[in-house]
Amino acid sequence: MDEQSLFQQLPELVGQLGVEHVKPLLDRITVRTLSDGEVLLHDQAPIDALYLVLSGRLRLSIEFADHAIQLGEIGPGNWVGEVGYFSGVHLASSSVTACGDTEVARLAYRDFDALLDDDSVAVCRLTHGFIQMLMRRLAVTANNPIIDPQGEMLLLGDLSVPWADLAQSPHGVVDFLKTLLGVH
Amino acid sequence: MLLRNFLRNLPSFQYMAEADVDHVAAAMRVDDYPDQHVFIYQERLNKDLFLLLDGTVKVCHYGNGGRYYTLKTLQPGEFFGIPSISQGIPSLTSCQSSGPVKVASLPFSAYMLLYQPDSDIGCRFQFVIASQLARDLHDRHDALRNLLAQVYGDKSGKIVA
Repeated sequence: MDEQSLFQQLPELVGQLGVEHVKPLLDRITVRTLSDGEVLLHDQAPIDALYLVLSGRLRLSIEFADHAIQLGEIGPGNWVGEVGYFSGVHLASSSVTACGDTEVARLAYRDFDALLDDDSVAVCRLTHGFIQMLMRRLAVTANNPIIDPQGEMLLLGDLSVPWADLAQSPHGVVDFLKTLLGVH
Repeated sequence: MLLRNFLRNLPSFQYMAEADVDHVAAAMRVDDYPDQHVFIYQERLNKDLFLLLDGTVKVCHYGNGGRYYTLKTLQPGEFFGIPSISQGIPSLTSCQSSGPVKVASLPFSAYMLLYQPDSDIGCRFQFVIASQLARDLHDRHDALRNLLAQVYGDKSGKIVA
């Protein structure tokens, strides 16, 4: 994927990372297109990469035998695979299925490690985004699932973090004072 | 027990320089707490990052339907209180000791200084935070799988009659 395409598809990622930090990431990602209903990851299966949603949506679910709990959907700018990486477990923490035609960028764990050596600022800014996503997913999963009229178990709440939160520059002096004073 | 030695042995501190681990340890305070001590109340703002050094702490939640349940039982080496202190919002959970515990706490001001994104120590500290959150979410998903198993059968796939 070239920078031009990324600018067109995800200008917010450039805003999140900074222009000079995009190329080292682009050098390491590959793009994959999923058709509606195609399974990207199986719950509890080995995993070795992070996936960024470029377009479309991904549905996340936890599975047991033939039963599932629907966790929700994530949209462009959100990643999957970060639980397996940061927990060190390297297993998918949920099944991930495309909702409609969906394009994702794949970044292998080993390439993320290599990026840490080459461009630690990019990794740092990406990690800040992962932290926002993990906190959102923890908040949604704090409640137990409900059963909808079709008998499907699902969790209420929006799993996807909007770009405005992911790209937000964290904890400048103003943010520090706002948080200290409880001002939003 | 020296806190800096404890921190150095945590997997999430693997990328942090020894001098930076010392800085983190110096900013934390270690105390003993009795059984049933409440570190964090649900719906209240939390202003410390806690690290469990010894004992167990239960993370609980008043959920939909008015039920109160345990989301997770923390083990030594786990941080707690991250979402509330990071986002400056009331906590979604309460955290209470189960038996006597030893806990290290990092005040809000030190937490915010450590979390600076474009510094070396900030990046390494973010890795620590992300690692704990990933562990929490991994454990929560395990709990949800267990819930499915309770509803539909045991872990082998056998359905309960």
